[in-house]
Amino acid sequence: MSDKAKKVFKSLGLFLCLGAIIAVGIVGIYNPMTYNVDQVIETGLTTSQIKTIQQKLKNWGYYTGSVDGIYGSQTRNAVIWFQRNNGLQVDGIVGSETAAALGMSLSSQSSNDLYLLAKCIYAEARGEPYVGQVAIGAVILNRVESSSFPNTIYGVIYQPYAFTCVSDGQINLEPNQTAYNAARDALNGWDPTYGAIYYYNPDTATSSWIWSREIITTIGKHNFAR
Amino acid sequence: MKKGAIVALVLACVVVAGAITYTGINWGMTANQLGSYKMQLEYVYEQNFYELAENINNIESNLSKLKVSTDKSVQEKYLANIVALSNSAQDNIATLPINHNAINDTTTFINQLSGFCLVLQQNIADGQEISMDDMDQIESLHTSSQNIKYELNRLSVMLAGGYSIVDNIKDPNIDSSDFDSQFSGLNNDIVEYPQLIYDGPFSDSVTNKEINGLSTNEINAEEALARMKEWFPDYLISANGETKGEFKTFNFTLSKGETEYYAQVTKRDGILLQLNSGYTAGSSTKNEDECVTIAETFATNLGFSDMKGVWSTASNGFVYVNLTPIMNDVIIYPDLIKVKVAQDSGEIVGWEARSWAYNHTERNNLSPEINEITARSALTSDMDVRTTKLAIIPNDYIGETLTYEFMCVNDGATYYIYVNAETGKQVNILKVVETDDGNLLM
Repeated sequence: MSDKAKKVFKSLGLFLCLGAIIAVGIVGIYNPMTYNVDQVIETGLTTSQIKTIQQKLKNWGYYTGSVDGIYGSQTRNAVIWFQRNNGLQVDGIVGSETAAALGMSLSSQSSNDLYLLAKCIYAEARGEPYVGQVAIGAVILNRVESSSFPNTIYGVIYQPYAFTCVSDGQINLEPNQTAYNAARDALNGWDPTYGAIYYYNPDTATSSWIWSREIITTIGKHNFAR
Repeated sequence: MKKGAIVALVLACVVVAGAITYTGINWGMTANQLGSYKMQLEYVYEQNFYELAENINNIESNLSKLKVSTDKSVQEKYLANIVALSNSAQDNIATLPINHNAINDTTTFINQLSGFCLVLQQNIADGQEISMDDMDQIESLHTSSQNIKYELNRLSVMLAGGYSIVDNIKDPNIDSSDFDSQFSGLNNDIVEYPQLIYDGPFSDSVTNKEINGLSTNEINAEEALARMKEWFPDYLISANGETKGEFKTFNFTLSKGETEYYAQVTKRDGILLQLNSGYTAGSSTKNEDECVTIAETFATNLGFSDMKGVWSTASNGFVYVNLTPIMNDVIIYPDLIKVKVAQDSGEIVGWEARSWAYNHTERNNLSPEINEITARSALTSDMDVRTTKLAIIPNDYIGETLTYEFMCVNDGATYYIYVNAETGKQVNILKVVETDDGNLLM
């Protein structure tokens, strides 16, 4: 993020003089004050997000209006100017790329669940076929839904003795893209096991209890059971 | 003995003693640290155990008060207490170092207790009374909670007498530990758990749902393979076992180029239930709308008629499309099929039809009781309504409801608000949440 910010400031410095000239030009040709009818533009942004954008643009000299959370033509022009200066697509809309260049993120949802699920899938099943990896993710989510397990993804994964990869620390390996894709599919509702809440490798499973569970299917090296 | 030999012996003794002392110090320090970690872990476990015992005590006392209460607002208060206490007890159990098979009955009891009380609480809020049958269930819940309480009290006395949890948890190579067996009283005859009947979270009626979308006619493995070849003509297809879960399926492995796919065809009616693959998407050439059309066409080719894309989101080179049937201009959300389309090639790389298979039937009652203007009065006045549609939505647990779907915008956020088309009451609100992985409906 700081690199990005540096980049922004660097290009800002380069274009500052030019910017000032353009600003004078804009004010000269088109003075919003004389119109004073700031048409509200549809953005899909919240008032506080718009305020943040306005504040940042104001700090950097792109925007001279008030920080009021209203995305009017003045704000739009400032965004266009900012986009032009930073080599972004010039459309006057603050999408994810422009937001990133402004040093802010539009997403309000954290991806912690996805990350943890991907970590567990990677640690438990990185050698398995893709569908076997989705299946591990599905088992974890089936446990969250099941009455006999904890009710959050964190609770299920960190339940004592539940996953070997937690006991031996492999959970802390960084997941690859395949594990991420499998986690995303599982979160989107893909479950190749149709309801399994257990899985084990029949060659290495030590628990005698697990063998008493009804096997639903076998994928790769794992038996899936409920 | 020669003098030299004595000197050598003394020297050897000094070296050995030094080594022992040095090792001892090192070892001692490590043991000290280990002891400190162990002690702290013991405290964490004990804290969770005592909190669990306390939560169960309070659950028991709230259940006993609920048994004798007659006033709705008082009942609602106790029910709310029990829901909160059981959620907290559930967190405590999940942190204790007990094997799943030694504690799963207790976990189920606590989860179902919370689900059951939540449903009663909602019923009261909707103006209903607690029925006699429900009161009977409360009675047996109370008995079970009492027995759990006694078992936990016995363990509290043991802990107070110096029993260490950390000293008694399992060796990873052994199936069960002494601490597990201390809980075994909770998992068999000492504590009996009632079979709870309710339609709510964690209930058995929700987990053992009926399959309404498929007839009982079964196809055999050859027919399933023939269908797969018809649906996926350009792929190498081989049989890959069966699944005996909620759905009984024939499983297949498909390959095309470098990519391997996995597909499941139901025995009943032989529909494509699932497809997935580890397809790696290159740079996108198809936009979201094109991918939605591809998904719709694919569904039609598979024999699913009138499936329309009602929601889509692009993420990491894939578009996830939700297809539903539209009957008489009503969106049938319970019959949802999810399709994943690769944006580089436009190939179908994922398909998930579980909801469709569970729910798809002919619907008769598709006309609303109240008109759109009446339904709109359930929205706050600052809602900017963009579209209005009729939609059948699944209820939280069992059944479905005909609703008006209002897509509205408020302070930059988009909401889908569902208003019961018979009663005019709000039944559900979804919010569009932007994430780094595309848009989510929450």
